[in-house]
Amino acid sequence: MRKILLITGSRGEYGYIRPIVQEIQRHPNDLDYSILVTNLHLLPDFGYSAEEIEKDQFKISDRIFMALDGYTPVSMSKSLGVFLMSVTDSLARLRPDIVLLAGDRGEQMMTAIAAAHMNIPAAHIQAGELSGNIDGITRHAITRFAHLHFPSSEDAAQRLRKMGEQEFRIHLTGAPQLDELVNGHYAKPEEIAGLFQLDLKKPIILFIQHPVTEESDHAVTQVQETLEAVCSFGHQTVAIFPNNDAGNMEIRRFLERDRQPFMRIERNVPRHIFAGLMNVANVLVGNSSSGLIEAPCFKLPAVNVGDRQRDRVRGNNVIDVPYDKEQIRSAVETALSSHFQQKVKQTCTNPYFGDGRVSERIVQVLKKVEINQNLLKKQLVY
Amino acid sequence: MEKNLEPFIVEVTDSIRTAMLKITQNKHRAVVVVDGGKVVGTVSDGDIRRAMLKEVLPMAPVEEIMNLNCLTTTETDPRKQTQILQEKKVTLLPVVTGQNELVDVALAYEPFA
Repeated sequence: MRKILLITGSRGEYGYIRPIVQEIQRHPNDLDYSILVTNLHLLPDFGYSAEEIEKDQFKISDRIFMALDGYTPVSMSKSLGVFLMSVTDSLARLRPDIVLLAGDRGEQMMTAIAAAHMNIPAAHIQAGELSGNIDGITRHAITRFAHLHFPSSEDAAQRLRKMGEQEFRIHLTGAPQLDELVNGHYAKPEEIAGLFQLDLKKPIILFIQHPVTEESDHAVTQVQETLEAVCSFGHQTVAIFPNNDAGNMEIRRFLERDRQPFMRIERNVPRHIFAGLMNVANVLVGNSSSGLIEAPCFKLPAVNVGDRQRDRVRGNNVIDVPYDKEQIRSAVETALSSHFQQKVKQTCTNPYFGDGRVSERIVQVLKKVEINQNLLKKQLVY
Repeated sequence: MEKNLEPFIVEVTDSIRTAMLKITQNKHRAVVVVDGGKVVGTVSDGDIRRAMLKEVLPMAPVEEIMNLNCLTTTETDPRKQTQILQEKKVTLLPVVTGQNELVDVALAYEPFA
């Protein structure tokens, strides 16, 4: 029996691992799992999304509180230190056979560091991709420590090879967070309309703007440009609070105070509800990676503001704009035009690979890979 | 009689405990949350109960648990306010300007009945 430990600190990461846990459960004789829950999942202010994992009745082995208050660049870094100390103890106690990491966030990197030092193989979902800012650097740092890589595109797999990763570690599996979307496992339009009091016959704007760590001093002025542009349409808008990176408190306060009555604000929405929202929305505005990765599944136009998603592969549903009210406004107008909506419906393909069977492929590797010195001793081959 | 709004309002940085005290005082099962004079939410008995079940501490700020999408009105006619209170089955209703500034709190029943 092989024991897999999965790490999740945010609703985004939970999206990667949920289909994988369900797949692991289909192999009760070979695989067991538990989930280590941390960061945003445990903060009431961010919707306490650990509740979603509890509702799914998944096994949670540990809850590690890590977020120091303040949400400044200093508290972000120090919080990671807190997490590294705690996750080390968890790994020593749980002794998983493989740790499964996802994405590009600091808590995933800390787990990679701890696992590598403790001779526990780490596998990494969505390795090798380009993404902006500190997260992008973190993703590649995880690659250095991880023993198995699950890239979601050929481009990412190629980058891993160029980084000197050995071929046998690289498995081009696709993006598991797309499995549920491709398979249609999300809330129906009527349920979404009821939950958020939306009129599905009228345009719906979905709005998520996270602070950009390197630009946290400007978080409010950046979000102000978008908010004013979005509100100028007077359409029904659902805004979702940002993550807890430096600058988030200023953004939340600003949204709470300066929104218009036609804008709803949510602290956190469960994944299948979020997907349901993307399904009924007419445009996604802000800087969430979901505009690039998930939105193409729904042929949903996305107006991507600023630098947060710089360098990431994107489809033709994305319109990139700088932090400028007028340009954002005109991009949203374009995105809502029937011409653009038609174009996206007919021609948009997802640059991230997802055929509904990605978690199946990942779980097969986890089940079959030989855990030996060859796997554990990393070599750089460039 | 001039209505004393003070027991119906908390600041966004006030603690949940402060909200509990005010709700006890105002006997309307909820308070309005303001930030710089603008309405940003409400906190009800139910919001507090759910927070306690999640082990949120009473000294945490109300911001963490408030209802972000509370009902407000710009209607100043008391009869129309009463109509909304009854239709939506709420005990109180923040009355705001077009800029969301709090000007009054309409009540479903007399303040100190």
